[in-house]
Amino acid sequence: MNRFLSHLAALTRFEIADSVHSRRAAVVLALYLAAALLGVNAFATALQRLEQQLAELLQTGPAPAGALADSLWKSARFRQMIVALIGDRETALSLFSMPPIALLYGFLSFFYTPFFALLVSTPRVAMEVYTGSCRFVLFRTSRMAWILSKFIGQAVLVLLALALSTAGAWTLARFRLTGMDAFSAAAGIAIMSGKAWLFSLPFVALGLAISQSLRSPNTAQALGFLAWIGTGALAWLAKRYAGEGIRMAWDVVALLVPQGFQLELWRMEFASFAYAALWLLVLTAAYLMLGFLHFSRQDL
Amino acid sequence: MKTALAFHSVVKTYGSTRALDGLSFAIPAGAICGLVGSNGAGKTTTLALAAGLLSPGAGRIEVLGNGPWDPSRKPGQLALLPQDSILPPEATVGQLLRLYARLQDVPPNRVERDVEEALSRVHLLDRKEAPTRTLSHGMRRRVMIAQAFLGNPALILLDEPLNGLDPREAAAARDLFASWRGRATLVISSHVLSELERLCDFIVILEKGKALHAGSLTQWLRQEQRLIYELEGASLDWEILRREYPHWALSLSPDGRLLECRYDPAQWDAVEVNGRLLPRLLEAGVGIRAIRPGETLESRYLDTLAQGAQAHDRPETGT
Amino acid sequence: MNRTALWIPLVFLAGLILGALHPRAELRRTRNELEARKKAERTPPPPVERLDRLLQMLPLDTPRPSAAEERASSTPASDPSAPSAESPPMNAPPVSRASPDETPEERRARFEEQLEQAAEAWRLRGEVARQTFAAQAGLNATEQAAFEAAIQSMNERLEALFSALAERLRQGEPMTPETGLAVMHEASGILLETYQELDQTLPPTWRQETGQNFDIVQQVDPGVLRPLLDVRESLQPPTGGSLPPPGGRGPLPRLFGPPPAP
Repeated sequence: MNRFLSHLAALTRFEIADSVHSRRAAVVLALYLAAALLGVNAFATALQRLEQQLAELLQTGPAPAGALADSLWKSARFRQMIVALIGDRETALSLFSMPPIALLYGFLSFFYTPFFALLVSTPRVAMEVYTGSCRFVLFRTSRMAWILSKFIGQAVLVLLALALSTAGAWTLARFRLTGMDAFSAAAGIAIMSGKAWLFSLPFVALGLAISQSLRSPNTAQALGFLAWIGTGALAWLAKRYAGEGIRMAWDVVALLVPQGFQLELWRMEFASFAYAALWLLVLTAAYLMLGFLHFSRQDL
Repeated sequence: MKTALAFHSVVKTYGSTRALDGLSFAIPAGAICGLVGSNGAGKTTTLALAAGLLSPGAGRIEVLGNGPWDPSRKPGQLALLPQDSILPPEATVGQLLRLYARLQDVPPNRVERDVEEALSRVHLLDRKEAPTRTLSHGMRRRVMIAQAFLGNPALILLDEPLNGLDPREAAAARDLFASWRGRATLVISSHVLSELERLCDFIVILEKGKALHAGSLTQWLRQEQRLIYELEGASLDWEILRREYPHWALSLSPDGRLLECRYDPAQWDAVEVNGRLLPRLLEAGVGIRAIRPGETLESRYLDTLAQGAQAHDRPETGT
Repeated sequence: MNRTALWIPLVFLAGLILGALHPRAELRRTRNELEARKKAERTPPPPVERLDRLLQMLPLDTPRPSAAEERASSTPASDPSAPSAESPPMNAPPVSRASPDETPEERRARFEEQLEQAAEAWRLRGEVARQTFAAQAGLNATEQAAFEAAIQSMNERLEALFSALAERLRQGEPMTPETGLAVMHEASGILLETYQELDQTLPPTWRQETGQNFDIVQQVDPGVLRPLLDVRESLQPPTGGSLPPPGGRGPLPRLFGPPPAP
């Protein structure tokens, strides 16, 4: 076990360094950051326009950007209106515990991070099998240690991307929305970032499962993109069509895709978060093992 | 005698292609073994099976006396130089070798030293921090050789190790391989038979997934029973020579360039035979370009292939 | 690694799925029932057109309807003081509306609710106005705290003023024009003193920086009027008075806004 762990540590360190230096990952990371920053910028612009209109309505004169939104967010009257609009008190109250910029960031990161995770993880194993570079390693160590190091390395890469986008989004929001509460925005964005990372783990595992099954990195990446679309579609169909009798099969589908637990991640109660976290981690392990069952016997 | 690597009726198929067809051989520990065969004979498949990268369809493989290779059981005991494999392009040479050394169970406090030593042997110490994508083909090949000699492996499998090396580096690589004689068992797959002839003391001949021969190279080349002289400008009456040395079997090739002297090793040794025959030839004004014991590996190999083909083509007679 | 161990996560997942199916089905049935009941009870909320309709809930800006008007209004929507444009939230009690048979206690409760809603809207507006002011005047944290303290002090003094008035009215003192003028004089004085306090605690350039945008009346919390709820009846002038009170039909002078349009 000690040897397994020491090999895992050495492989993981190498995988992280190699991933960070990978040109493909750098391009995808840049695109991800750009998407996050553009989203925040668009939100700030829309919010400022809304605040200007509201300031005219309230006859309060020009307010610092973000101030009116913060005030509205904390207003009991406004919250009652939003509860009425959403129709679900628990979900609405969960939303109010976060500043609006954090909610926006959460929406963006929940949408983009799985895509990013799949894009960077799908070629990792397939590329090394295709080029034969894995042969230099796999006679020296177990395939399980190697695959686990790939998973940990890619998970760290996603975490790095999220950390960078968190910092960038907060900085941009601070610059554009001078009236917002900086500390609560930072805390909110960081919390959503952490949840997005947890949400991305099954996608990293799914990407590696696809990668373990194929020898072509490009095919694997294309399948990864389809998997992103497919899991989202399945979750939507499951939510729409789940019911009694034979339609309980849709419940099974909802439990097999990470998007089936997205709502629980949005909620702020610990019980919801723990429930979602457990399921996402189990899905992560299951996806990874499914791929490994094939890879462990594959000729290299 | 301990066996380093043994195949027992191993079969390996790729789809409908039978790459190994009941391959059996045993390589003794400490030998430098040449693995020879034509294209598609199964050399690379054999080495990959030995290293655990492929699974056999049938048969049994024993590596270092312990069944199929499992890196978790005897880590660091086996090393491989795979053919047609690319090193990770973005990693530096040092990063790669450090990783491989750690996986080879080199103690952490010795990793850096071992890496530098391995790179020095292939004259690449100055490229330690260079990404592998910046190296030439030959340099990458040298890095691959260096990684195969990290740590203290007991069995080293080298698939076409001298491909792409310039003559100086090829000579250095041969010296490196020879320096491990007795320390480990080396299995070298190569098409350059003259290199193998110089290095190896054991030979396995593969053809169409089967072993045509596996044994001591010296014995196979009958080096203890022949001397071969490469001649130039011969104008000797060979019948007279034969009459002078009736206890030896002298024969001249049709083009007059090769003189073969076969003798009974129980009565003569090569030094004695040469001591008598060489002065006589020089006295007769025969030019001597080279003297070597036995057959060349190349000629013996081609003979073996031809015999194998004839055996295959010979019609079956039945009664 | 034993290949059997590789199946553990998949078996665990299968077990979790099997265990979750029944609770999910139960939850779905319960949600569907709840949704059906909500649909049956829910009345569609009227659209919220403008936020300033909240401001119209302030009872003192709205003339008390005459008895004839009250008898004539048979539907809640005709009550001008009712928040007809307000969307009642799902989980908040519905806004009560005036009815001809309303008891004094019910009327008091209605006025209190309207006042509270107006106060909430005014607080929001005041908060935004304060932040706007602080940004425009370039106040640091200390100055902003001093500003907040001055406003709070002003509201406390206004509330004390109206508490005292309510006490006097409760003890039977009639509400005369002179009383109204005195209250107005004292309230104006409080506002002016607050201006002076701001001149002392804020940077000298605060007036130039904020321009014409700062109106101290916007900082008055409508809640200061809460003490007058119990004596609202007493705010009517005694019968026989010939002079209308200045500023409108209501007895209490308009302290917090322009007179309503004719």
